[in-house]
Amino acid sequence: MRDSSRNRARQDREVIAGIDLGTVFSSLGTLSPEGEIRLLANCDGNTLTPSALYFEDANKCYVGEEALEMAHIEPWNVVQFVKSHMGEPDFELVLHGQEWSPQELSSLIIRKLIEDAEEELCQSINSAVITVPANFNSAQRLATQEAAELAGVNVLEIISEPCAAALSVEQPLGTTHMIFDLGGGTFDVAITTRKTEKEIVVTSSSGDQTLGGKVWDDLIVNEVANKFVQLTGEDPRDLPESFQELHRSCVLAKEALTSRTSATISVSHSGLRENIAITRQRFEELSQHLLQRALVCCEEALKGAGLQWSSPDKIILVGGSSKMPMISRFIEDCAGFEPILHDNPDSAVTMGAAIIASQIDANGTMPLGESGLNDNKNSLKPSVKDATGHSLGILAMDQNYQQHFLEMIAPHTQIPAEAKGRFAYAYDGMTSVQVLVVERRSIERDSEGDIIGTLSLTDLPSRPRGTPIDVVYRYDNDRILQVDIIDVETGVGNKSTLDLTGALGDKLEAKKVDIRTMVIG
Amino acid sequence: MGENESIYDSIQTDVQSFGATNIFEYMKLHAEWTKEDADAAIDARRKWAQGQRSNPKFSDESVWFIKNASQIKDILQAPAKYQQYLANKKLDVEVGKFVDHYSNLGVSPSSSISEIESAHRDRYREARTLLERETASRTYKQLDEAWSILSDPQLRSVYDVEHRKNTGLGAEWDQDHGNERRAEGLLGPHSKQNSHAPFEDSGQESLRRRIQTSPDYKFNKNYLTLSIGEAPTTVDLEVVKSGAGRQPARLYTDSKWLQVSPSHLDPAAAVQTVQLTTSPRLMESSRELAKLTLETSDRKKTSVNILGKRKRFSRTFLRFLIVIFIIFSARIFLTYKESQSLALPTELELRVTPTPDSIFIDGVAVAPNILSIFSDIPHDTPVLIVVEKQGFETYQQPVIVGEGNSETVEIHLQRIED
Repeated sequence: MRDSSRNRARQDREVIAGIDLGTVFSSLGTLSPEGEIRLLANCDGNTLTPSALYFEDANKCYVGEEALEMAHIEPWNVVQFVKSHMGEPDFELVLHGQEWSPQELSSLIIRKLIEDAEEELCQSINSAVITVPANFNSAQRLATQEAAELAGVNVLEIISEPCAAALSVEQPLGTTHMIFDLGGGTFDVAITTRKTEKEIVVTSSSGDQTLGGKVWDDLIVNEVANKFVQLTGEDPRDLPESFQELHRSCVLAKEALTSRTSATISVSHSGLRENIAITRQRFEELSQHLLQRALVCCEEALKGAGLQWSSPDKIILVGGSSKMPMISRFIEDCAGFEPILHDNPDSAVTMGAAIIASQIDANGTMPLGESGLNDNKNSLKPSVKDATGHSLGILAMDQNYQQHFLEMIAPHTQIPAEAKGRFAYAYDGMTSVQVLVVERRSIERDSEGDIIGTLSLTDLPSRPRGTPIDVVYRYDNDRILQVDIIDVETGVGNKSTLDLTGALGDKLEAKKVDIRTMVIG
Repeated sequence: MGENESIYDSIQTDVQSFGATNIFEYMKLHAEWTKEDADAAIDARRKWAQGQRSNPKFSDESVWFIKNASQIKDILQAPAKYQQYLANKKLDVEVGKFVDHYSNLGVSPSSSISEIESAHRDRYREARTLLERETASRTYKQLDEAWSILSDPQLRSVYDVEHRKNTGLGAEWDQDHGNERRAEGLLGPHSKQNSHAPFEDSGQESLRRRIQTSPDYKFNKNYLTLSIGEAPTTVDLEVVKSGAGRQPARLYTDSKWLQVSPSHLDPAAAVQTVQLTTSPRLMESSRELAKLTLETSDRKKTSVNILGKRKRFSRTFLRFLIVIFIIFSARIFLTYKESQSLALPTELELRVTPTPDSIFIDGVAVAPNILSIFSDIPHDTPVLIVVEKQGFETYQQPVIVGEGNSETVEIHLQRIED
């Protein structure tokens, strides 16, 4: 009796979802009132929804398996791998005469996940924690946040994927883990340490946004297509329809090769049909260079944490592509000990995101463990503290008017972070200043960076060169940068949000209407 | 105009790399196209691009189209300016660019597979610190493509022929691969009944014949990283000529920020110094790749890839910065050997798609490969080529190759229509 009343009370609590918005698959999870992680199935009964969209007409689209099935019939109306273009301002697809940005397309995937989950839960979901690759920059993170907002979801936190995955496994106090997260489109590696009972700290991370299962698919696609050319003189990649069908078969073959030593792909193109076999051995030969790329990233992360390959207590493999047997063998060769493949590599990130979501109060960041709900198993779960993967800085001039990158927030700084720098007017009589915000992709100290945004302070009183001006960088849990410029003498400041490259910004509100009117099949 | 020019330049360069001479040809617009044709062409191409975006063969091109579609549309709406631009520009048409995978990886054509693997890793590590995100991912793709081709012996042997043609570097490859075997008497006046090749080994490599005459150039560095200060810096390179005799050669670079002097080598000197001058201000980013090429009078080229890294200092000084000049000098030895100026042998190259069942040259069966190269064929007299494949029409044509020439015959077998 007492139990049921408590459950009813719980049901009134708002459900906060953890969403893994992946390049190839997306999924959504929550924590049940009992503290059990619950991965929510879509209307097809699967917990993984392909991140694919099919636009039947200007107002109706299908998300998931149904969309994939249309790929070889109307390839131009099917959208996949949109995550690879997040934060790119000039990337727009035209579907039935309408332009779609990566944010808008992603928002439809989020809407689909939420709508299916709400059906399954019989509860509404208004807020979510969304995961992104560790080395997504501020613009890409903001684009992800915009996608969720377009879908009508309140984003409580944007969290790094390996960071979330770290929470989905037990980590004893004082130990160090390496989280190797090879997904469908991106690769991340993070070093995590359980420093205290309450928290896991990410000490270093690295990754490659172009390294994922898709690149492995492409190896099989090219291999099989080349064989087909040799047999018939025709290339199935030349026709979008044939290519899409070939790609699908190659993905299935890749999956089959995780448990079998050879797979056969049936290719049909321009009236010709051939069965082409590929062995696991050949597939692994073809993949050597991709493993080398992963190796370079792992070494960067280890170096960032000041560790060696032998240092981590455990290496945890997550992400769907980690299921390929070559991955664990490769890691074992590097580290000298066997890595552990996560129980549910496809959903580790979602599981972690669900845990983080449960730790956040609907209006703040109060962990459940401190809110008195001691019967909740989740109170035993630690929270995770992320670190910056990038170096954040500003482009400023020296006395000779040469531009330099000045680091404001160093890589591997614990988040949230804040840094203040005092600069000066470069010219006499300046009435406006512009801050060029630079984010370095790599942890290498002397690497080049992207200008991710600009912020201006205008209408200043004219004053001489050398007049001081302060710039404050604030890096919050979402890892979306806030920048303030303050004129020291007058105290005038600009608190307006940073104009990030590729962000929808002001257009967001107008776009929301478009998204809401879309019918998702 | 100036602003348009840079847009035009970039579109023109990209379109050429996709194998068209200009944007109108790329869009497959016929001679007297109308605005409606242009709109239809853009829609059709967009459909293609959206369908091929994830296709490894076309992903670069389709993403390029998606991102440039509006600019292309603008050009086609008012083509006069672009046509003017094309007319004014002395077009250096290099359609369907040859990609030098060896120089992209910074290895020599004689490199072993393990050298290629470690070069791939090293270049990747460098590319991770390079430029903005999109350039970096394009570089990853280039490196992966180079690896995919050079790590596969079959693809590599086909590519090496291409590479040798385009760069004149190839002799080393032939020596190192050592798979070729002289097949004496291969192309005698045999009858067609004698359908066995006069040698046992009919493996992929066995028919490859090396070109004896390509000079043996060697840089002991194929790749060089320069750390560059804020001021122009000079770096000395030593060029060593091995062998006696005169060998005229010129030197040039492909980038504004890297200049070489003198532009011509002293044809008689055995050892001489050339100076590389770096102008960091002309670099568009703090890391850039340039190529120093040495070309001899007989058009044999060899090159060194040079990565210029501008030193940057990232200390958070609050007011002003100290400019630090790094003076960097390096001595690199370039070695090149005297060319033996011999004529090329008479050479016949056969490319057949799809893979045939049999190939006969003057009635002699040879290994039915996609690509085969024959030297020692009778010159100035017709040689009969017969290519057969079940289900395809038999190809049968005589070919005449002049003395010292090389002839490429591309054969695309036609399926028999029922």
